[in-house]
Amino acid sequence: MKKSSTIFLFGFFSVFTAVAQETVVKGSVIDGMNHEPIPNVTITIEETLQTSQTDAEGKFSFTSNVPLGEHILKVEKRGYITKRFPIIINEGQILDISDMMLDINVADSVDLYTITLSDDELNDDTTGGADNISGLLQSSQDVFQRTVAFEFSSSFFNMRGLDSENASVLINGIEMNKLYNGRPQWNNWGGLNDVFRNQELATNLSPSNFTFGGALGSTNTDTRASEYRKGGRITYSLSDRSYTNRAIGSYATGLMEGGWAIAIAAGKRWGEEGYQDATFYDSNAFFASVEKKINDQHSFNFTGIYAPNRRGKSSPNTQEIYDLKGIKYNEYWGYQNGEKRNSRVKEVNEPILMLNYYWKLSNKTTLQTNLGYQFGKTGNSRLDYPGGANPSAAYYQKLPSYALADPKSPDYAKAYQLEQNFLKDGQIDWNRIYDANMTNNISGLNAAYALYEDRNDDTQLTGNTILTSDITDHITINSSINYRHLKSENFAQIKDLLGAIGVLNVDSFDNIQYDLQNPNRIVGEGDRFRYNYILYAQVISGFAQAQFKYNKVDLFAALSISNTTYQREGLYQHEIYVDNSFGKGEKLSFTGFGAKGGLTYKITGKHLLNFNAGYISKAPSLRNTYSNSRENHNVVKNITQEKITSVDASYIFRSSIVKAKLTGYYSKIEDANEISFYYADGLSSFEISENQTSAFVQEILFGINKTNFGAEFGMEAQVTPTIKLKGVAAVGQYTYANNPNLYLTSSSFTNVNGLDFGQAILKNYRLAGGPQTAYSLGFEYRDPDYWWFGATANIFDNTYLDISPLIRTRNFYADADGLPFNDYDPELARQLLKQEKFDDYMIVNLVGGKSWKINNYFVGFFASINNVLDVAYKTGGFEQGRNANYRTLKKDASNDIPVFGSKYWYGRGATYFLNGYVRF
Amino acid sequence: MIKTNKFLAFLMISALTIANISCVQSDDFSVPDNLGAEENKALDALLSRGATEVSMAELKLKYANNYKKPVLIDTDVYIKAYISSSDKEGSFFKEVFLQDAPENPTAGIKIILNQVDIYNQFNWGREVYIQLKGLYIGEERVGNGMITIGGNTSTDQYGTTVQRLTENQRAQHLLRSQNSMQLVPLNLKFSDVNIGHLGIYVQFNAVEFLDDLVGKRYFDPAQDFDTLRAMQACSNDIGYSYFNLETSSFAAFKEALLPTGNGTIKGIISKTFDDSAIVLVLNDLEGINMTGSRCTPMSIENYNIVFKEDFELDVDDTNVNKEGWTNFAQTGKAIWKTQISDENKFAEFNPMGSGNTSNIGWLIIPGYNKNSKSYAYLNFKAAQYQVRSSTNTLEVLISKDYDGANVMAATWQPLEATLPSQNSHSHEFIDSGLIDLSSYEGMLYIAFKVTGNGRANSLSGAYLIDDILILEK
Repeated sequence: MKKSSTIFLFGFFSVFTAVAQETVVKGSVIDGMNHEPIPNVTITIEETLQTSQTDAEGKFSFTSNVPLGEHILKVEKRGYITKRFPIIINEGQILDISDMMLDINVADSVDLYTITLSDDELNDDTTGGADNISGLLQSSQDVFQRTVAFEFSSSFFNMRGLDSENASVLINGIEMNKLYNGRPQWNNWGGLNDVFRNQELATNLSPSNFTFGGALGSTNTDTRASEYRKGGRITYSLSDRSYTNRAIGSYATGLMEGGWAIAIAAGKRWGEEGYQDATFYDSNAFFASVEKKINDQHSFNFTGIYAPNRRGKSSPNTQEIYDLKGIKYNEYWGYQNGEKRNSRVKEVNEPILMLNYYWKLSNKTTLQTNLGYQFGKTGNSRLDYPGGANPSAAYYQKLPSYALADPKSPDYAKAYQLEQNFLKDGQIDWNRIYDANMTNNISGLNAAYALYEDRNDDTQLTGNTILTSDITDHITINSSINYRHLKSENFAQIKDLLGAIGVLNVDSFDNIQYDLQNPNRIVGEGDRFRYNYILYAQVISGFAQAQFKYNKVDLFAALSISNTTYQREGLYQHEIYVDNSFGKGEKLSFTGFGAKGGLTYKITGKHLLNFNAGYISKAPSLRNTYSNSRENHNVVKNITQEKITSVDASYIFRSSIVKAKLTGYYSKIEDANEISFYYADGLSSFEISENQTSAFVQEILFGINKTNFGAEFGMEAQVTPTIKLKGVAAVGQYTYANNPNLYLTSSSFTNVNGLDFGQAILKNYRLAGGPQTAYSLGFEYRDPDYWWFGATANIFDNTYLDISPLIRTRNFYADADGLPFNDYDPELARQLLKQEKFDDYMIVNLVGGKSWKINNYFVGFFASINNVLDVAYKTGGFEQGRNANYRTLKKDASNDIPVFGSKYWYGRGATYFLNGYVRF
Repeated sequence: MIKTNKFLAFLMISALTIANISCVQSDDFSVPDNLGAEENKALDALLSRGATEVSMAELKLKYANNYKKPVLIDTDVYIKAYISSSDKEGSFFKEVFLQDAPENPTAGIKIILNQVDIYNQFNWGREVYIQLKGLYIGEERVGNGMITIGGNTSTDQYGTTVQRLTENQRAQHLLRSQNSMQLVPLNLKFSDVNIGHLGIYVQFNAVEFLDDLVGKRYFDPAQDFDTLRAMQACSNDIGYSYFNLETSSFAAFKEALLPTGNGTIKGIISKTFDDSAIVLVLNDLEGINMTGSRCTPMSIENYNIVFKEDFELDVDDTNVNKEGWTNFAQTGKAIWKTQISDENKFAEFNPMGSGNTSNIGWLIIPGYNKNSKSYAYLNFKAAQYQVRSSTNTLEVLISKDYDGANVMAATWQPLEATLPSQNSHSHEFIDSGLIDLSSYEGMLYIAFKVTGNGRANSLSGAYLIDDILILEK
């Protein structure tokens, strides 16, 4: 087997030899520790970007169009430290560089950050849209992107102000982004870092061989069993971030006799409490990949990934709460029988099965055909209180600000009492909850409290086939056809009755039947209630791309087209939406189109220019299509495709010491939608039942345009063989570009079509989602004795609060009769509506490690300390929609401490991570 | 290969082992084992330290005796009570009504506290102990009669009232025992209800909502807060008796249709929000069983006329002199006479022209023998003529011991009737209303007694009586 591939590779090179002149650059690469040849090392002549791969014996050669003169040869492979050798190529000579040594990257820093950052993804579904792209960029070699992944992501920095739905995440060519919100669910494979290293990244608009990608690009992880290096690895880590313990074991056989290869891995991460109080972590992960290579042309691979995980969530809080209880405070838990019990638990359990068929049609053409099947459930638990007071101890009426805002006069005595109670206890009283339910049992009443789960049970089938063909030495064609089908069951399910007999399936707020088909049903543990519906989605798409590579110029152009259909099927008939909730709703269809192209112009080997432009129109995600899918079939008004236009231009400088890149970019997003759910106070309208001014509403903001532009700069300098300096800057401005329309719907409104509030005046407000400005400065020292350390200082600025659009509509100033409040003061209003900008801050991170070789074992150890200075900083936050008009907002703002102040997320203080591993 | 397999097996086994040794929050939580422990401890302490139990009546008296100013309880006393109200359906807000016994209660009281959904802790029928030291007894609205326990006081231009217990006070003072009782409603008639019933769980039988409320709901959307819906009850009396049901705009059942039948209703006796009237408030609709056929009140047609006199056969301007009647001048010369006006004859007592400074004249109708089981009513019409002084009166009296001759020797009791006043138009006959005689038995005499002055024009006026009826069933 080995032999035949070697023969094949030699054959491959001989083709070039026949065509080329005498000038040849060839050589071989070996492992610096065990002196074994390393296959699949990428060798690049930097000026021309000609690349070659080492074969099984670690050998490579360049035979055609070899440039003459002084050049830099870059030798790189994942897991090894990249080396760059200056060479001189003379015409007609054979330059043979044998046994270039590559050292294993003992720092293993890729691994270090990958774990700690993508583990945080379990927390990503809270309302602040905290969204992490570190999982996307971790495999990048670019200093800017690596800094974004490893230094900026804990501040929820978004590259170019775009979130992860703009990046396609693929495993074996199959797209893993969820159709619900367009984002990848990283924790579907969390804890399996050892086997998720073979990634191919195409950032921003650059071309990928697998997919068209999004505005942020794409990454494809290959889990083909034969691609793993033979050997095993055991890792154990300790931390005080998301979890306290982590253990991972993996083993790969490499290609064995009979064409079989097997790779397996298992990981476990657990901890009773992360950085925030009561954020427990419980994750298991199993992975198996089996490949059968029939012959050189045909190979089959099966991959199974099973990574169930559960995690206790933490709450965003007002500044009042942080001031009283500190930044670790979490309102979601309380003691039960002496143990911390978190009421909000996220559980993800979605196994993935894949079958991949690799068919080498010819030396130049491959066809990869993939079949993926994913099923399982995602659940987010929370307390329901149909017959009890709000169980949160941080409920606004239980905080001092509430007593101080007493309409008559500040009630200091009560404020003091509330403050003492909150300081002393301030958590959920599970005993009271059980007592309430058991008291109700005495009277034969239904539950006052129940713990339920919002469930999302997806079944998705994906099939695609990807063709890659090198038509000539200079031209590569990629194309694919994809099919995806999703059945997503959404419902609420009782998880724990907490001592009660049953829960009445009726909206306790206004006695509305959730399901007219079964009115007044009493539900028990494991029963569905509240809402119950299925979303069907189907996507058919195609992609075609041509890449041209020449000495001076590289070019590419790509096209994609897609058809997306959505349909909702209600399993409950809602009392308010009798004719619009049950059975199948209208089928929606969207046609998407994408085109992009780019050019790299190599002025010299040191100076390069790169330009890209792209246009993508795509169906809105399921989440942004149905305005209130829990209750009815309604679709966002004037729904249409979301469009992104993006351009960028870069200047790249490379010398043997310095690598630098400066990029300017501009992106425009058009026709986006945002749907949010909250309890609104101070609504002025006659169309709410019984002249109330508050209601639980769905806020639909549609036709949103956004403009993101800015500059990126990254530089690294190998000032001595052991010291490397790094500097990165990201300066951006991300704003709303228009005044989109807003309307509210609610089952409490007398008008079932909702209330139209016209335009929300959002233009030029900043978009939330991490800092818009970030800088990083750092160094690495690598001792030849296999120990190393590094430090970075990172400064973040221009982080903005997420604004409430409703407050910026006419609801803000108009009284119920449509006329402005008679006490409306435009100057004061402007102050009230000013967007909060968070303070800038600096985070210093330290990392260091050492590794040894003991016989055939590699033993490594490293430690990192994040935020050494223990800086408290806000990563995000949002305005509460409760004070929806001028009067209520003005009144609340006049209090020393607002009752409905904005809620924030804080980043972590100083945390550590320790890691030890053995490799063999 | 063998080595590999062994390693794989080892890895799998260790992975599975690790998977099971997790000590993080699991899915299974059992009921907390220390439920109610603190509360029990507090109650035990209260009972074992020898605090004194006082009755609700005694407690309420403290307020009454303090000139209606809230009283701070400063001795170690407590009351034991049973919760009669439930805020489950939104009828009550941050208040609990209590009564002194699960059955045949004699007193009720209210406690106000800063808590919502009280029912899931202080459920209906729950036995509670209120440790009173440090609390106040008073009213939430001065003078409304609803004696209330509060945690503090507040004074404004209307007086001093009690305020809600804070959460901390509630935890220290309002203690549950383990007992929850099935309260037996106190059976009352509408006419029985008085201020002493405030807070008590009661039941009315054979009642219904007014005829014009058919198709209406408990709550009237035109109201901002509370809606009063009148109920009526039939008995063997003529006509209905009435009582109001009050429903809050926050009541969960406010949109329910009022029952159209007749039957029983159970609730708490309370006051309207503005304290103007005593009303019934429902905990929920479960205590209502009004599906029977509506009742028909007794009307005159249902009764036999056992006595009737319209004076039409008498001779105008003659003394009333009829078989079995007594026409007696206690003082003065004036005497009852038959008169005519607008072709209607009636009996009139007119002291004018008698010349006496005092004229008291009695007109006593023949005796009526009533047995104890029958229901009987008196009805008549009366008018005045030139009555200008409040000393010039008409009284309706009843006697059981009149011997038919000696008026002054008999015992006479007044009967309540609607009578003409100085402001009534001259000669306008006013219906007396139905005067219930059912509670009497034996030979009954009814007398019309006029007191007047025959000298001064300003002090003498005439009273006219007509259409005297006695109805019996």
